[in-house]
Amino acid sequence: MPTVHLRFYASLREHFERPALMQVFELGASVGQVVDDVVPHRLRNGLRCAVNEDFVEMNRVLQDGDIVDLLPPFGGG
Amino acid sequence: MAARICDGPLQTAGLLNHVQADSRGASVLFFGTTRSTPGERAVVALEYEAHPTMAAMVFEEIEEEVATTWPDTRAYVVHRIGRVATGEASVVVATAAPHRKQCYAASQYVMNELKRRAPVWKKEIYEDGSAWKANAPTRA
Repeated sequence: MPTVHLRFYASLREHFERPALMQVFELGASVGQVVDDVVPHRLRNGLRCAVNEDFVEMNRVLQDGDIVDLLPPFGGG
Repeated sequence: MAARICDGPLQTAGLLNHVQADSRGASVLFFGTTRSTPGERAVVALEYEAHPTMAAMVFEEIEEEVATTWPDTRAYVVHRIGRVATGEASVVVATAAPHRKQCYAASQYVMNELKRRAPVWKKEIYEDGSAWKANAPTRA
């Protein structure tokens, strides 16, 4: 089963009270399943994800050792 | 990387050197600055956070799009993270082009795309609290 390194930013980092955690998921789990498992429903609106620093769609299947960035809606500028 | 995402006041001297050339007769230096009252509560500062490597990659992508969209036009972006007091700049965009019309257009394009695509986050700091603020969809 893949062990994935999750990283949190901004509102999500504050929600989880930590910048990152390691988590084990089922073989074949997608980014969307990770979001469903980990992120409260109220914090999913506008959420984007990256795997190994590339933006990905929610159907991206995870591999062991992947780094998954959970990115709340952007506010730069 | 540190040149693009800066923790501390933005150093703007020399930014135009990244984009100017003898063939480019127009230059724009755009400053995005913390303003005091964007909402109902008085904002005393903004606090920015970024995914530094991904934000820098997005800046470079946008700059490449500028170079391929407008002839002989260039852009260069720097963004601040950490606490930014009112009146201080959080982002600076340097653009240069042969003529002012495309120079202004490129500058606007960079800001619109940066707000939409760059993994940077902003928290409004009030006298009595704070709140994360996402960018609204860009108006045409």
